[in-house]
Amino acid sequence: MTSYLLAIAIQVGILMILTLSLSIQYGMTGLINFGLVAFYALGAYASGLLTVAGWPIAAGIGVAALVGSLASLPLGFIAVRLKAEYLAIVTLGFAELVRLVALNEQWLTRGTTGLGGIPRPFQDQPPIVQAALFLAVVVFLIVVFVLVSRRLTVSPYGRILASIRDNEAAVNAIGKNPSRFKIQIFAIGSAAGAVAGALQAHYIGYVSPDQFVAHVTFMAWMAMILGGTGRVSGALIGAFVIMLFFEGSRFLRDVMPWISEVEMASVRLAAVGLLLILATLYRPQGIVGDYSSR
Amino acid sequence: MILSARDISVSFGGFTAVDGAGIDVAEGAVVGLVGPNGAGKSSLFGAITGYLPASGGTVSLDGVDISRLPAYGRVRRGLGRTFQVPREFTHLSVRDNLSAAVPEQSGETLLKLFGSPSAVRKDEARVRRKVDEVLEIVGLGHVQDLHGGSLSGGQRKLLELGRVLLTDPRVVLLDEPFGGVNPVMIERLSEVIKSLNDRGVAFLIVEHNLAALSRLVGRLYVMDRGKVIAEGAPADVLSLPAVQDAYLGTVA
Repeated sequence: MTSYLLAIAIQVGILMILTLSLSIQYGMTGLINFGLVAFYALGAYASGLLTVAGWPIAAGIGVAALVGSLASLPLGFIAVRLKAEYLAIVTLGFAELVRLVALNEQWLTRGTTGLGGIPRPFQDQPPIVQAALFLAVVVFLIVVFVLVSRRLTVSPYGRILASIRDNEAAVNAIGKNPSRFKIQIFAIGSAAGAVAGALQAHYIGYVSPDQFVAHVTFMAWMAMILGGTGRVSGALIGAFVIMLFFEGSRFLRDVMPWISEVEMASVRLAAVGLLLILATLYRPQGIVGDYSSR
Repeated sequence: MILSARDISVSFGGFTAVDGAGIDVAEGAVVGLVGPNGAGKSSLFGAITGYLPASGGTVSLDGVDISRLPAYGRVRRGLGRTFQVPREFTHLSVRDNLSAAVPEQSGETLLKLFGSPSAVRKDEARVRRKVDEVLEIVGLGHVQDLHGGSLSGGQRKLLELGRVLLTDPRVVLLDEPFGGVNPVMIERLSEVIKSLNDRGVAFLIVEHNLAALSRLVGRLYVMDRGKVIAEGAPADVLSLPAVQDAYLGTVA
């Protein structure tokens, strides 16, 4: 049971980092990233490939963050100046592009076979200790991104971010370039997404293109909306609740013994979908409320 | 000339809103820009401030061509503007609205934000002092903790004026500062504009309230159908038949 709970806690933690990534981008400046999974994938492959080649895991995760933010820059320069909807479309396309590259560039990613043998940290420890230490690393990184989020919002920098959310034209009129801030925020958020991917790679020890489907992006979106858009606590609580429901729906099996495994997967998604519909009906501002009540 | 716009044209599709209009504002002057609705005043404003792409013409600030600069770049050079409908930051406090406008803040760069918290703190003290000064000038000290969105129409205009002031402008373009503002507040706004002008800030003001405008400006431009049709002292310009025609339609 302990190892099951640890495993779930690690998944919750990784989803929290992914959701923080969205929360930074959408919550702080309204950037719509429908291709979050692309950065998650880039982080997973970057750290996976480097550590398989012998790099230390910490360095792999660091490089993953760098790769994530660098990859966001061209998208940022192209789309951030345009309306929010364009970035949504561009990122959606980018996610598909990354997945296809992972699928087809076999020399690098080993295609559908996937990249195995990715080192897991603390491997000389007994499994429970190993999982507990891994969880500690995840929690540490959550704390890092929470502190970064706080610094970005509660500061002169955050004042401009809030101004951009309120009225971008007026931000120009006070002599500040909104695009500069949005591109930076997009890059920081993308780094968080990549770190989540790297953690997942080191946790599972294996990456393959079929892990990087749109579902990952939308789990994080659901978590953010459920928790409360634009608030750090909302991202954390939303990720926790979504994962609780998603894992809890496993026990639907007991009350619905007649359906197949494949059907079960769909039923579980439907259960989470229903939760989100109910949440938006009865608590549209999210569990902790959105940024306007911060 | 602190501000000089030459041969400005602005088109929307096939429609030419501004057709080769030019305007000069001398150092420290207060200049008015009037004309009937649809004359192209706001479009000319947009082209000068970089909010609308001009299809022709040049804008220079203190002799430097700023035509290719983006809107925020023009503000940094000293060309401030307000909006017809005030665009205060509704969810920010009045103080934060003003603080955001202070240029060159350490805490607005990632490097200093994460690398040098003490420099950021010190700079915030500077920002506070500058904002205190401006709160004094525009007289919004008593509402500094309220959200921008909760102010009255006139207070919003004052807030915008304060915000522009913090960008250290050489010339400020005011888009209908007295629109939808009660007479007492018009008086108050006029006083603030005058006191800023005494400190050397030049103004170009688009306004329909000719009585209030005439008390402020030394020169007046009149636009009609995208062109400047008259310029000069307010009293002279407003009595010209062509100007009266433009305003009232052709009088029999």
